[in-house]
Amino acid sequence: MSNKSVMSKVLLILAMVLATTACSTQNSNTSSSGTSSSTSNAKSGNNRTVTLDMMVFQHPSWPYKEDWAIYKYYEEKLGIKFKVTAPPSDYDTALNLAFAGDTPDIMIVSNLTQANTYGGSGALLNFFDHLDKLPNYSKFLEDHPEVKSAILSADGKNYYLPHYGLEQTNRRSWTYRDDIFKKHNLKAPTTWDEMYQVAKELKKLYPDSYPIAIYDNLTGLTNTAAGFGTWFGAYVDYEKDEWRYGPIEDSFKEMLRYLNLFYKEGLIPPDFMAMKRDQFNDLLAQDKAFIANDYMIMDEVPVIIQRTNDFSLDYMTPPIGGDHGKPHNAYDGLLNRGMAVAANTDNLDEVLKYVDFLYSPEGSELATYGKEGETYYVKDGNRRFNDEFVSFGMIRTSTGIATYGSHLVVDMNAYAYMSSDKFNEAMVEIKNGHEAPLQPRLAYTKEENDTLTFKNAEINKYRDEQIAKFILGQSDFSTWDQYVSEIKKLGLAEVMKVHEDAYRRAQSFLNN
Amino acid sequence: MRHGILNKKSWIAKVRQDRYLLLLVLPCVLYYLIFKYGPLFGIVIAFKDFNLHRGIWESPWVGLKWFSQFMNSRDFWPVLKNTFALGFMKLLFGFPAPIILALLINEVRHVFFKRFVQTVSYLPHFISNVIAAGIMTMFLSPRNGIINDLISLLGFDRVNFLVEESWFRTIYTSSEIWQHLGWSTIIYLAALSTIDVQQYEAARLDGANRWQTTWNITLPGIAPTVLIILILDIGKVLEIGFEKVYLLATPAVYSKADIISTYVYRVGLSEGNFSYASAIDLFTGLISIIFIISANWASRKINGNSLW
Repeated sequence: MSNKSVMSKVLLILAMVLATTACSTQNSNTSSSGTSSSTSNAKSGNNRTVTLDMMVFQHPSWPYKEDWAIYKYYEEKLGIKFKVTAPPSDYDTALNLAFAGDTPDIMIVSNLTQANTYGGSGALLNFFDHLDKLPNYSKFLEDHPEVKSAILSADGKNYYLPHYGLEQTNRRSWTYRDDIFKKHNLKAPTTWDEMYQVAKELKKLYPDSYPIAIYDNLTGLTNTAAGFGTWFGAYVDYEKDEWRYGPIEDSFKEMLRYLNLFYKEGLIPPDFMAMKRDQFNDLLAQDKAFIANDYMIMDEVPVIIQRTNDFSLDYMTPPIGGDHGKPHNAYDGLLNRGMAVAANTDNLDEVLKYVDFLYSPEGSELATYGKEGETYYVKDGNRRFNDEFVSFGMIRTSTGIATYGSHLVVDMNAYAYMSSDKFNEAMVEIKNGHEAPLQPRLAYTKEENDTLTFKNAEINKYRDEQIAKFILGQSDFSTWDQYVSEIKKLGLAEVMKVHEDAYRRAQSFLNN
Repeated sequence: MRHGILNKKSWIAKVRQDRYLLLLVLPCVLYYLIFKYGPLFGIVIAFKDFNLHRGIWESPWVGLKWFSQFMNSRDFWPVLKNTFALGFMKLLFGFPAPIILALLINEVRHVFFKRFVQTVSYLPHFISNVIAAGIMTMFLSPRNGIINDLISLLGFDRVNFLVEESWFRTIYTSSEIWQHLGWSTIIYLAALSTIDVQQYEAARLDGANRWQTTWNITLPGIAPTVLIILILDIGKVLEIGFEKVYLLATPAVYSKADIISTYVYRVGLSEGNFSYASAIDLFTGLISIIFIISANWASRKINGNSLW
């Protein structure tokens, strides 16, 4: 009898566990208790604390912690508490679920298009309707007209608040092993012909090396194309004020010729397409690659591969490729992710107060530094973060400073002293004419988006497949014209028209 | 009371009497209700222009727009062809493999060795696809992959497997077999263990050798199981997991590696076009149903064994 009852209890628990897990996966991320502090007795001057629901994208390197100090400072300053959900994976799905169910007051959106899609369907707040309550944000947009063009919707509304500052470290760049180059009296290449010579040289010295490291399918082409004066996709040529499609231009073909040559002679890894970052790091670590095309990795990689003493990477001026090449890296500008606010938020005033504060000088200072005596101290008139924070990443991990949800504007100069001189000099170098002009970030109407989705799906697939085959030598360059006409046949003109229209529309909004 | 006539009892009493059995089956029933039947209502978005914020019912009806869009897209035929090709290759080579392994394991008399082989062969089943694809990529690497090292040891040229489209289907199929061979063997071993030992003894007395007992006793003994698994597998021909194909594919092999599920991911999900994705999934679901019903019908016609 007792056995039976134990058994039944176990089973009951099992069933309950199953049912609850089922429920919790059904409405994940809606752990909010419906409306937060619905007793909105708006007594002015009353220091009541409001709790806002916020959903943030979680960076794997600094996952959200409940005891992050930065949110404590906001509570002290503004009387606003945050209940943060940070979905551990597949953020977009979590966000979709949140829209279908209980939308948080504030959320991080993945990109402008997503914000405009949700905004257009009525789910998000149009900030332009509330500019009277957003004085600091208005001023920020006035001071940064280039930002203003990257946050609009197709009908000139604004559902998307930009992050500003962090994108500075998000630059792509060429780097090279300056120690190895010195050792063998080699000069850093300035053109792709020199690149070829140097790579051959290195291959002789290190026979089992692949001197130039590119990896991860075709992502390396984005930065390489900028050096040939073209672009891996549709782009606007500011000099001629016209839209062009990079992958069918002659300069792009020129680039593919070089890459094909390098592939044939073993100067790039034969499996560069299947390689991921780990294998790329391994190549560098084992002295099997000496020139890299990635982000600004000169400070991180030696630490990751545990060779801080006998390994040095430095910035390399982007080599010029072909007749129309420029010493340029590609740069995306603003971070893709932005902040958005639910249209039906119960705490509109507090939400606006918070986001506007983040755009104010005082707010961005708090978001950048935290609090004196707690996160930083002043020494010889300079602000220095606590000594236990040895890197910018560590500040973010421990305090929540400069993470999604806790900032909109940060001043990157605050963290510059933590980077190496090499890194800081490279940043200056890049900004001084070694960067392709910033491409506009456009807003599309629903019809335009549909065109782009379906046409681009076909064009990109064909494009990537053919480009890969040109590099690998599976397609001969004599078939280039067929490739170009095939791309055109797939509806390139329509796609370009969509970009052109959206671009002119954005310009007309800005000139008003 | 026990020998009263059961169907006279009220159903409450029946539930009371079988409460533990019902409790046992409850999680299973709940699972199917919540995760399999519940979402079925969502199929309607395949016929609508689904808008997240407005919800399923508020979104406008568009009829068969998404279906015709898919069938008229340039990628329709290649994608369908690739899906079928991979599916049939998996069926052709992946279906007999575990049966053969089960028969072999069954012949082994050494218990420890038997266990060892079983364990080793079903372990890969528990590796996630991401890891499996990582292992494949490493082994097949033309730089330092073990397979290429072997090839060059034998004096041949290294092969850049992952960018040669002619290799893609072979790589995918063999990786599937490697991953799931041992796991699929379990059910056949279970079926083998139900065959009456006396039959074997009788056969041996009649002077049958190993081949003859295998052919005349073992195979007929597991035939019903084999058929049912075959019918189920035929229904799964189009259900090729997105993950592994996506992870193993490089742009150079798109012409062989772009299948329905990767297409749905590229055009539907990653662009937030859920209606389109659902329409394509519904389309594949219909094809699968046709397959499974035909396979079932054929099997019943041929030898009377069938699922229903």
